[in-house]
Amino acid sequence: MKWSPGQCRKGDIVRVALGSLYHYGVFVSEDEIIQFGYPPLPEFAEQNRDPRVRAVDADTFCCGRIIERGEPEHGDKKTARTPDEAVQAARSRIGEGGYSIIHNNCEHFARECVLGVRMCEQETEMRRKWQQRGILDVFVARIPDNAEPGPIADPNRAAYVAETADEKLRIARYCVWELLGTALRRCAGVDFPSLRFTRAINGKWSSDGAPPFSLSHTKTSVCVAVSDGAVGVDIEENDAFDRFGDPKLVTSRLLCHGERADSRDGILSVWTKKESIFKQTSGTVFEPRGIRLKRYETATFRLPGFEDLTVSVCGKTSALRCYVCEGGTVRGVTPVRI
Amino acid sequence: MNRQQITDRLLDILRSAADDESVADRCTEDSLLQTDLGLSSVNMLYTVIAIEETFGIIFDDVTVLSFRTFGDVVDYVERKLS
Repeated sequence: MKWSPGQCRKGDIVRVALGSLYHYGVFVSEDEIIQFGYPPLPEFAEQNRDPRVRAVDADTFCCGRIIERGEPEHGDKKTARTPDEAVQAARSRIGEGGYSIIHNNCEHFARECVLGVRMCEQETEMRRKWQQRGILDVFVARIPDNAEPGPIADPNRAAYVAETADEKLRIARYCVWELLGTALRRCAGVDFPSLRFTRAINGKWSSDGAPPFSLSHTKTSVCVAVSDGAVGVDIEENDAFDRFGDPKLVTSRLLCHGERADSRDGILSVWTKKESIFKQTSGTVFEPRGIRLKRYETATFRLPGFEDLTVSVCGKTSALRCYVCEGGTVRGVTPVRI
Repeated sequence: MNRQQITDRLLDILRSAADDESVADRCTEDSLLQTDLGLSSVNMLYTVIAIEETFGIIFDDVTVLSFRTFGDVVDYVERKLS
């Protein structure tokens, strides 16, 4: 279907743009355009309480907008009705109700009358967008003061946690695994205890039954990212680099040619970004100067209640959603990007 | 799926659908979809489609005005799933 403003003819499918949505109708004359429901504008709120097929004049239909007429193209022409048939089909339905915003709306009506095919391109396009939106969910939680490692169903991870001599590290490894269970149940609805995991030579964990994920922890907090594509996440305390005193000690080992990190936040951002890239790309040796930031899609942010931490994630950042886990509950939050 | 789980999923959808994802942070069951959350008719259409895809339900006889508050949407999904 090709759309353009122009002289409308009897039996045309017509539409007006209302923001990024369109309102459709069947043109009969300037005094008669047949539509299903009124345009979804506040001034028609009362009429749209019970939307019905009705004839209105062009001024009412267009609400001051430009009317476009649709010119059927090759595929449409096979089923298109003659102008008289289209008008007859539209008029025969005047008074009809049963409106549904996505299954029986003004576009379904107009296309069916004029083209003989009941469909809504707006719905199809939005459904496609939703299905292709991607997933990148990041979860953050505190390590409780009194945390004790409990049982872990997966034998490989259980052994990995048990082999750790450092008590705090053992607890962190346990807590991040617990958070992974929460994240996978929430994002993918998987039965976490039934999954079996393996650890690659680069330290990256994976499972055939789980979507791609990445783990990170600090001495106080744990972080998990789950996605439908390769993903890497890194979390750091904001004071992680303060002990170095002179920032150049860090930046000289961190930055590629042309990259800058002039502040504490700048260093944190670059460091966590590069570590998340390293994890996403499944590198074997973390060499920050070998990673060029501009080649990767990353986001760096802080979360409400966790402002002492900086998180970076590498993956489908346009789909980023963040959650914090506190007291056994998971809450969606808006990240503050830095 | 209980009411809290439905609410959590709907808030996830709201974050994706709204022009300003932070509206989900201040959303309550009493929030008015159009005036409090600022959902346009496009946002509403996207939200309804996302709900169908997420919960595997079909919205029949639904108009932009069918839901006044966020709680109305939770009620509708809860009813459909039951």
